[in-house]
Amino acid sequence: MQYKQILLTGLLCLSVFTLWAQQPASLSGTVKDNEGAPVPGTSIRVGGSRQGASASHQGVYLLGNIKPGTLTIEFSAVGFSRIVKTMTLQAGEKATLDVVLFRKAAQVKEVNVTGLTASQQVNRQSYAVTSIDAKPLHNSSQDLNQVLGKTAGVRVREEGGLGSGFNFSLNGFSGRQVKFFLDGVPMDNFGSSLSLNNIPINLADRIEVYKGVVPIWLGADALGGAVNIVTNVKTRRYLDVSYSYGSFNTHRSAVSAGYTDEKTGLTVQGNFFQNYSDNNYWVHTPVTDLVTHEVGPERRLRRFHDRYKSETAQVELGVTGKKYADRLLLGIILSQNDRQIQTAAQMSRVYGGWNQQSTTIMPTLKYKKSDLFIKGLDFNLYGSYNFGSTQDVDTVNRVYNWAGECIDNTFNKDGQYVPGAENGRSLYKFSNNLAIAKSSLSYNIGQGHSAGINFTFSSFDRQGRDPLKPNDLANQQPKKLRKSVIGLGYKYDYNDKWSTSVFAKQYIVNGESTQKVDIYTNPRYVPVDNAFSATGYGLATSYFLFSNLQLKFSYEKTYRLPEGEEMFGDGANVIANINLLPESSDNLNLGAVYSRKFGEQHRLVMEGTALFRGAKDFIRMDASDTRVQIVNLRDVRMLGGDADVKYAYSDFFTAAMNATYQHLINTTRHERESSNEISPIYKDQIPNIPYLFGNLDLGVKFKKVGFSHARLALNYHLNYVHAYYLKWPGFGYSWEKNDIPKQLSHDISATYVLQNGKYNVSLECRNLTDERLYDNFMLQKPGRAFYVKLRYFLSKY
Amino acid sequence: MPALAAAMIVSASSCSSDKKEVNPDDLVNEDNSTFVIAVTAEGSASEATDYVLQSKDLMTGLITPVGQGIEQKSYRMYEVVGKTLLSITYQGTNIVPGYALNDKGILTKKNGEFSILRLHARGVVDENRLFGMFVPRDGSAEATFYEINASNMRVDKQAKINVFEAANNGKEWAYFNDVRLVGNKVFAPFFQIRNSSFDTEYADSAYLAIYSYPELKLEKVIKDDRTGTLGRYASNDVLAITESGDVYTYSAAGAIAAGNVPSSKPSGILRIKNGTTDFDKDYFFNIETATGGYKLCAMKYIGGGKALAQIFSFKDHVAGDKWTNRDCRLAIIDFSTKTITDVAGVPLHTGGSLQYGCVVDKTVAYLQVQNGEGIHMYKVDLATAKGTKGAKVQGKAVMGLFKMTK
Repeated sequence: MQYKQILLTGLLCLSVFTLWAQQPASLSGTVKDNEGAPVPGTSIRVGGSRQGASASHQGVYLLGNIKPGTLTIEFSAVGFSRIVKTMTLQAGEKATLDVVLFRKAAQVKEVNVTGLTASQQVNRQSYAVTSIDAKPLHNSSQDLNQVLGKTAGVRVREEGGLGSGFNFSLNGFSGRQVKFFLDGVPMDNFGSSLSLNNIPINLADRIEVYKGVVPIWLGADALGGAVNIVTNVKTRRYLDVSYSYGSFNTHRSAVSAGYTDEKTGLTVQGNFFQNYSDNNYWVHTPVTDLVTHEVGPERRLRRFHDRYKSETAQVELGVTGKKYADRLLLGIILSQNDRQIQTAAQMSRVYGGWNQQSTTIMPTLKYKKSDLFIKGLDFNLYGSYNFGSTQDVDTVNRVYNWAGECIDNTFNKDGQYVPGAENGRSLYKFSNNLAIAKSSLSYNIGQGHSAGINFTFSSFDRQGRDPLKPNDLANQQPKKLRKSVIGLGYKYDYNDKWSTSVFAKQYIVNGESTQKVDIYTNPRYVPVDNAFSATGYGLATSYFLFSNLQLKFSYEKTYRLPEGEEMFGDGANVIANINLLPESSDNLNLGAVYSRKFGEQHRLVMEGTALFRGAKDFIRMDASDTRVQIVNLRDVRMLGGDADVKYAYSDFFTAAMNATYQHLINTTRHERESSNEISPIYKDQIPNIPYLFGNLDLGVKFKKVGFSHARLALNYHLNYVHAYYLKWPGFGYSWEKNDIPKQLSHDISATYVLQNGKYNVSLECRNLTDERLYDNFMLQKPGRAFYVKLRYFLSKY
Repeated sequence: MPALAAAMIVSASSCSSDKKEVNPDDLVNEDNSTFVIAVTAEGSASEATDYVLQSKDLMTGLITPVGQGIEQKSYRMYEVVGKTLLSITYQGTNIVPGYALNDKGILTKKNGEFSILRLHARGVVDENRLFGMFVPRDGSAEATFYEINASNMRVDKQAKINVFEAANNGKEWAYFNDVRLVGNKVFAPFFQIRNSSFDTEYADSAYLAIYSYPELKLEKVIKDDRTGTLGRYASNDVLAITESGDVYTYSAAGAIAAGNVPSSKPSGILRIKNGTTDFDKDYFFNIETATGGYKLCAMKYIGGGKALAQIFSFKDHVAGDKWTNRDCRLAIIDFSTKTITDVAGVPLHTGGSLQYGCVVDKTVAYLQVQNGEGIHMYKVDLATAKGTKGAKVQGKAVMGLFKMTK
């Protein structure tokens, strides 16, 4: 929605002919739909003039500098019936007018089909975008990863239970090719203590998933797409308290509260959440005898060194609705986490003493002002700096097996202390000193034209040391990376049916790092040149062929810049690769959305996207041994698609299904530059990437269960992932290949809601049939698990 | 549902298993012998893995993992102990499977697996036993010694060996690269390092640690200043034990390759006479004098007091060679006569592969030769020192080459 805010929002048309003889009046208010949800992007026009505005994300609009008198004001929004109001304004009067818009009859009214109201608005953009309405999920004990994992095109590969490492992939692009944003703010510098695997779903109002082309207002170098988590900012006063408890001694609680004083505009918002889990779920694994080293028969054992805990506080204080600022918020994010590490990249290597800790101390600034200097010019600013640090602690000189038994080598036979470790002896502690500044200007030219410019700057400056290796020169070398992305966009809405955006982005990278040269003759560190600059561009267009069939097309030439952690490592598992190159890609998306109502009760929405990607210097994660390195691997071509079908019968029953197929092939023709031999894996399928998966969701809702104000919802979810090979499909005997087997899992849940959402209780069972689930080779995920969640929610618009 | 179904049909064939059989006649010779070749297939970084292939002969056609071979989980190292081929962990998983020829002569996985750390030094003891050593480079103080029983697929004995104690200078630690049973002692040559970049100040002497067996107590460390450190990183076959029980060992001294650093000493061969535990003061074969200034890269004993050797073809070793073994020529060294005979017909190639990419079959040796033209098998007539080009290998490397008989 920020797209609307930044690029479309704002007053239309500076009226040059306005006479300023009288003191102008102003009009403000909110636009909501008949269900009480705001209608962002509503266009408000003053009859007989070229003056206008569009409603913000919260549905709030402001028409300043209106010539007093009797006015007709027209409210219109895509998919809603137009409303015209007449009123008389006195000189200097500051009037308010709230309106309710009704959906057009032809428009599908979606109920509990993911994609509602505000979400639907997002879905109507020209970009290939899916918006997940998070509100119905607020009673669920899922985290953001689990919710995203149910979306077409998305696959979240988790290494284990709560807080475990994960790899997010979107249409075959993975890792940091996909960028994450919280309210349009890049999450790059949040640190591991604030990530998709620990942010509770309650924090999100909705989640937008951009597949492929990413609009410029997100202003980053996303290449494979972007995920924007939109938090609940539209309610002025709210309190959301929840607590969940479940299998593996999992405790999660979240408190979210916001308060805005309507007179003074004073705003306070706070999010506090906590996660704890022993993650001691059952795994099926052989146990290695610590004496003979024989790998014994498979046993069912609990994980024993996988505890995860995190605590986060995010507080913002400021003002809203002031002359100098629509919104000015100063905030801080404080968070810490502590994670034990149970296994290496494959489960055969087990640890019992290695852990990692990290903290985030991050002040933030958010500023927003419409009509800056001139009407129709909107300005947005965001800045943050993360002072937090991460430490890798591996000093336990023991060898563990899956039974939790160990051989302690801390002291030798003679009783002397022996320094050692499980993976790599380390007390390395570092801070990335990540700063991000983002600003945007948008100007609504009027008559459907709008333009915007966006500037994102980030600076990474790694400082770290290891008390065990105080003289290690490598830790004293500069590790700096600065990136700037400037985006220019222009949008033209020809009419209600056709909308087109064109954009260009300039990418600029420079950094400071060194490598050791002349190691034998004159060893010294010399600077490495990481400077890079390139221009990307693209186009997104959409057209309503019929009122219920929208076609979308987008193309982008884009670049993905390496990140600090990828170039300099994470101090623990990810090792440095200072020569990492930016990846470039041509992305084409073609999509269609069809919605239809059958009679009064049946509603159907179908969506399909076809994708093509041609990527050069594909940046991938290379997980070997216990360590990971980010490398440029090959040129890759992807052809794929996803489909999404949703059906609803009244408010009673919903069904949703999606499927994703993505065929990634290696298009590197020669293995070595010197060789002109065609590679045996030319055009072979890229291994170890899930390529076929799908989800099915069924839900029923009962009203007046027990009490007149009580509702009961029952949901069933099925997830399917087709088997895929760990290594290149073309090599080896077909019966001697390693694969990640087919996955089929079932989740069920029941939610009981009292007093229209004030009190909520939900029960959830994940992996009902206790299937053995793997997202990665031989890395088992939790079996059957139960969760209960209690939630109290109070809000006032 | 239709979309999912359609997508499933598209890929239905991709993971199905075809007939699970191969024809033994294609892979096994009439004398029940078969060549076993472990090839690291093409692919980037860790998605490239090894395939264990069988072939009747190494002289014709193409040896390729396309559609054939037993897929390994990662980059491995291999050793044949008696009738068992061990696929030894190097990365990823630390589980070691074993393979043996079945009654049809087809390589089949043995029952049982064992779990060990990666091995930087290995030495086959007899038909059943293999010594192995994991050496830390993160500053941890102890290396792990394993005595592996390949027949039972288990570790019979494990011991900790203090790497600082062997180096005995308080600053650097021992990095072992071979471990052998010689008489009733364990001989373990090493170089020294002070960090994981393999920096050292101790490049101008040869070092070898001698441990009691089976107690594995450090008895002594012998040192020789006539040449530099012995072997290279994980080179193995650093020691050549002759039929008479004498031990010959080599130093690449100053040849920057596989972790080696510059040295002021010449590359050469030392001897430890049977029954003694000191370098023989009366024996030193200065390779640089014999070759006009070139250094040894690697050596493999072929019997009769002779060894196949890879000798660098250039004298200016530069920093960029640190992890390469480029441009070696092949020669046969006679220890007692101190002569070097070049092998004709074998082009310059990457050295260091003799330990794992070479098999001696009576009067001939087969070895893999890797250079700018890819990898080819060569047959070397040991008597005449003549090489013949054989099959092409499609892959990044040959990690194991053996002849096995059921």
